[in-house]
Amino acid sequence: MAEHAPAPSSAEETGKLLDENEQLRTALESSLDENARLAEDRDRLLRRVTTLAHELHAVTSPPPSPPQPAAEEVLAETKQSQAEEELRVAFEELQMLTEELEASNNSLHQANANLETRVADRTRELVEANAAHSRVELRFRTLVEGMPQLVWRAVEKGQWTWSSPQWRDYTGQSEADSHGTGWLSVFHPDDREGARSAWAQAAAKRAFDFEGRICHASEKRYRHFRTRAAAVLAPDGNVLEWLGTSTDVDDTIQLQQQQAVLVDELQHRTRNLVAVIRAIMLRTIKDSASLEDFRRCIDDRMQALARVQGLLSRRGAGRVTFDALLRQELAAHVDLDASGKAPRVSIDGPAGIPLRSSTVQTFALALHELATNAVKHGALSSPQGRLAVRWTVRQRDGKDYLHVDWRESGIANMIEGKTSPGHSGYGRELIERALPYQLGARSSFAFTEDGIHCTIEVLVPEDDADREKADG
Amino acid sequence: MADHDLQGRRVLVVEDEYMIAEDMRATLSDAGAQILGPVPTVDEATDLIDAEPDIDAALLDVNLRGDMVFQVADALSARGVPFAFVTGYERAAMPARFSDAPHLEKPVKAHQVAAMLAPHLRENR
Repeated sequence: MAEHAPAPSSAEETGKLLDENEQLRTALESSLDENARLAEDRDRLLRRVTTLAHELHAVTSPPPSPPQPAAEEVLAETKQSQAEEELRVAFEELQMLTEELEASNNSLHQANANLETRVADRTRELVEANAAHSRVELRFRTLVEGMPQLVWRAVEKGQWTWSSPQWRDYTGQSEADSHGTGWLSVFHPDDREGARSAWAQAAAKRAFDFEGRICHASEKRYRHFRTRAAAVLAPDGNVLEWLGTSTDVDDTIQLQQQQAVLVDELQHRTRNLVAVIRAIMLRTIKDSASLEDFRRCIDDRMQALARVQGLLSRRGAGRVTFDALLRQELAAHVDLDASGKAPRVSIDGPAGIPLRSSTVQTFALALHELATNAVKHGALSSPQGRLAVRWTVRQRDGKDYLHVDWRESGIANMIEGKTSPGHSGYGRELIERALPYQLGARSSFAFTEDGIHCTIEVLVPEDDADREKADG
Repeated sequence: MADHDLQGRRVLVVEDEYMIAEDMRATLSDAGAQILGPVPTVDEATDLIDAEPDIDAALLDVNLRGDMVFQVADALSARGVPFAFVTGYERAAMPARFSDAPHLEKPVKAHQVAAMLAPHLRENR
């Protein structure tokens, strides 16, 4: 910050003071000239008076000599009175000149005194102006050095002349090394050409605007920067210099990229969801005996799909857990109390077992088919029936697996054709084929003497945010 | 009828969403195609390609349980098997080497697959 343009008010003040000093100097010089002239006149007169005095003396005291003739005496007397007259005039002139000189001297003294007062005044003003200027400069420096942007100055074609301490702190490049085109070396090699061409157009555009990566010395990585400069114009419109800032926009760009990924992901999921709905619909048409049958069944399945979308969208940063999914699906079919219990239904297992997001939808549809069949044809369709859902986490090959056991009982005579063939068939298909296909699950589905018994075993995801992002 | 162009054609389906995979199987089977798969993972797709000498075309979902399908596409390219990406992904997200590969939106229709196969059938004549 050793050099930069002083604030405009300070420049005006300095100009005013210089003008005034010049006026005073001129006044003093002319007074001195006048004095010198008077002194010269006086010296000249003094010499003349001296000469005249010598002449007079010569006339009035002649050497002893023989008596002069009368005519000669008369002539001598006349000469003497002439010399006396000349001397008197000269004395008078000298007197006047001396008076004039005194007056001039007095006025010179006065002028000097005035000058001293004014110089003292101006000096005080200058000190005050300098102090004000220092305060402005301090404020300016604090602003420049305190702002998050890297600030710099350049002349034409991007030749830097100065860079702020932030530039040095950020890039590790010394101020001197940033001069000229030295600053280019801390830009990403792929961005340097872009920076050069932006400068090539800057003069015509009267603006410089460029986005490129600058190497962060301590992080040892490139971050995106928006680099801009404004031209400082002379009154004639020529560019005096450029004042520039480089602003870190890396976080913003990262967020934009994340947002683009999320939008892509959302589009992907939406298309998938529509395709899933279509597949369920076609499948339901195939299995329905009548339009009324179709209407009831498709409505149930769409509601199940809607419930699980709600669960997925409400999860926030966390994963959907098995107990939450089970409770939600059961609650849609039977009245559960606050602790998740209902008559004839028991559920038991650890809370908070996470599910991979990509498996939640199929898992939910499978549970929906199990529950809806239990209500229509199975354990929950008769007062004697019981449903017990138990789950545990088991270790196999060093990995955690969620093991779910769905057991219906008390409905011995439901086996063999007592079920509605289509709907229970879909539930069975989802468990036996869809879950293994999509979740990599191991599953079983059986009609036992007592009712349906079904097991599902899926891998519990490790809590890894990256994986979560990838599998959506 | 364009669908008849799939008669007897062997079409590999790689798709990790069970219901969509089943829908594609049903659609293409109805058009006379023979379905290879469907398979839900990169590993299973790779194994199937290695084991199957006779593949006429392939439909590839891009994101398979978080893995990208691109190495499967490379294996198909190496064998000269025509394939299409079936996805909601933007074309920009694809590696440049697949810029010529067709993209189909879900749900896939049989005539789209037939159209994709047509130029290859002419070449093979």
